[in-house]
Amino acid sequence: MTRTPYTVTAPEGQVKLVIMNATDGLPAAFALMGTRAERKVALRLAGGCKGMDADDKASMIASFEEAFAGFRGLVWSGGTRAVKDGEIDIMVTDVPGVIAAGNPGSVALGTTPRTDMLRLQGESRLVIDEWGQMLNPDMSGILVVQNGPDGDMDWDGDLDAYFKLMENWQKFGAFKALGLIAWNGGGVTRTEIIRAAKKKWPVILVKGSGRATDKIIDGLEAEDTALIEELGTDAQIYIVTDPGEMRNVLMDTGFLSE
Amino acid sequence: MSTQDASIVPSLYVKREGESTTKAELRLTSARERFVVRFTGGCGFMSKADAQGLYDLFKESFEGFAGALLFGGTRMLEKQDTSIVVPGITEIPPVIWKDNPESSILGIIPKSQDLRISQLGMVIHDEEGATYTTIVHPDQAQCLVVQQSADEGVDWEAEFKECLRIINDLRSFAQWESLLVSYNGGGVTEKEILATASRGWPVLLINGSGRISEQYANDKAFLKKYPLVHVAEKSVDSIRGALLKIGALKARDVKSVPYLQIVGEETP
Repeated sequence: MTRTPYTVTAPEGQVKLVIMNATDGLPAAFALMGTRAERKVALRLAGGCKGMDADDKASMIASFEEAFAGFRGLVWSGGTRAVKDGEIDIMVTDVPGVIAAGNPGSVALGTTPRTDMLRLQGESRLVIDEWGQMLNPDMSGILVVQNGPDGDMDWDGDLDAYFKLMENWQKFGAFKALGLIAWNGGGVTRTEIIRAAKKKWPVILVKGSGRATDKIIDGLEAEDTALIEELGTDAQIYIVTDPGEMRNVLMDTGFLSE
Repeated sequence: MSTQDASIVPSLYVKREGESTTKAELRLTSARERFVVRFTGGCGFMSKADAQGLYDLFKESFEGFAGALLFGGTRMLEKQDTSIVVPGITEIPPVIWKDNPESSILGIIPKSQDLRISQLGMVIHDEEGATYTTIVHPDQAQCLVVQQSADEGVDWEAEFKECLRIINDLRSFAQWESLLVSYNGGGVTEKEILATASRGWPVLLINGSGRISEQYANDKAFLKKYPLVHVAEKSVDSIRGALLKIGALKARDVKSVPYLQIVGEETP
């Protein structure tokens, strides 16, 4: 079968979709999908790829592949995929699928807020907005968070659900480590970094990735006291510049083991 | 890693039929092995002879178990002397759990009457004329009470239906394996055996345990129709051999692999 940006490459040849209202309790079905990972550790990837050219994006994927070699935990991010001119327009949300595909025992999941009406386009392709953005077919499962059947949400609409899921995995599912990696990104990514830092999870910021992530790194390097207060003075922040450094932090914080 | 904390009384979750139970299901997954064993069978109507040696039989058979346990979540106390526990299948999983610190446990209780707190604990069922009172079993990590609403209860079948739902979640979304162990039992147990076998999920019937489990254990047509329904004799070696074969026990966790004594199969 020829692989296109629309081809489902998730394990079992299917992506399980769970839809929840933002005000509902967390769905057990989705929470259980996270426990499939061989090692009970969960890393959330936050960010975007604005301002990056195709070479930068390919290099980003290669960096994560190198840093995560041997990873057997849960890796997850936003649950979307962008397509441009019939090709994958690589985003951070494509990273978990690549990591899981290359590392047996690892599981890739995603969450996305329903910001617009779900619709079918073309050959009955499910898209999440009128511009044809789709759900990522590399992931084992995607949680769509909605504001009731009629309401729309902003792009931060899934944050509460994913942070609660992470906490539930740790508190009830015996997950040993939770963390966040930030690459590039805008306002929502900044919020995610602050929230994760306040929970004292390891937060890995990739220097040179651009926008919100670099802005926070700049602030930390300039010893911006307001920012340091906002993150929490006892936050576990790691600034990395290359895949080797990221790998070392993943080892030190328990996400990777030899 | 131990899933037990002696200082904590069971967490009590109350849910409507059909509602999601994320915390309880995640807590089950804290077990080391991805294998859930559901216990069903006789309680109040089990004869003294059928209950003879019940605890030691399963305690020894499950030595080394590191999966999750699902059971009825209750304990029956003699009304005339409440220090006497009435033997029943719901006494078994807590014993196994206490002996095997890497296992996890969840009791499922259908709310059949208004819950009441008494000196005996939380009373689930107390019928006029009955010789025993049913309370929430104190030896479990967590307990899930199923109700229709704050005012309306559910019938006793809600217990096994909820267990089927949880087992389905674990199998479908978390890639777990499962086993229904059936000892003795009556009409509701029969429905659970049939519902489990017809889904193609493994069942272990204990031959010699009496009543419905024994009846199906000797029903050749039934066993032929459902090849994942296994039979073990009422002995430690036989049950242990079946648990190893089915995968509920792992060879690496047991000190010696017993001689397999599964009815209808050639012995090695």
